[in-house]
Amino acid sequence: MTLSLPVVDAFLLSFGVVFLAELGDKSQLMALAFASRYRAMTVLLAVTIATLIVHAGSVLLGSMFALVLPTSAIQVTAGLAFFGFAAWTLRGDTLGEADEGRATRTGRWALVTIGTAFFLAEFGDKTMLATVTLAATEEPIGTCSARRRAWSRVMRSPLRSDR
Amino acid sequence: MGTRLSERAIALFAAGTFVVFGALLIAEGLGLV
Repeated sequence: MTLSLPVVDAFLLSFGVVFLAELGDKSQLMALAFASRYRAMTVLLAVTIATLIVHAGSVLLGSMFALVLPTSAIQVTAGLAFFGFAAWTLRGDTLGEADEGRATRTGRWALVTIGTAFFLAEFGDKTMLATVTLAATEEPIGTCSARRRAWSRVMRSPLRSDR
Repeated sequence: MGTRLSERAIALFAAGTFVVFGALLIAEGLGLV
């Protein structure tokens, strides 16, 4: 199977953008909190599933914008959005009370507990908005695929050092 | 102190990348590049 250039371009660009956006993000803080309480593989599996669901939806939403809005308007809006992401990155993220409560909750079904908490934390998060923006301007398959890989890459080293 | 500095450096690098990327997108949208 050969990949077309737009897919590879979108993959590489999305990987880089989401990798940077994920550093110090709320969802990363939550995953670190979970990794100190549960097995690393359980956390990794739960957040991968939750991330896949949230960001497949984000890519779908971005692709719909790309279908109904003119390209130039999307590019200008996306550019402004990235200025916002820059400010958001400089401000930094912290876990709110609700997020902390979810991160310290124990459940019999660790996978479900972590997955649900992470799913809720990802909603409206910087990386979700960045994914919507990227999907509106780039090829959707490459964006979705890179999104998941970037997240796993960011999370793997802290999870391993915790164990 | 060192950790805080490196966190700040990473945030600055990420923010700078986003600004450059955003500027490129806007320029492309306005037909400047």
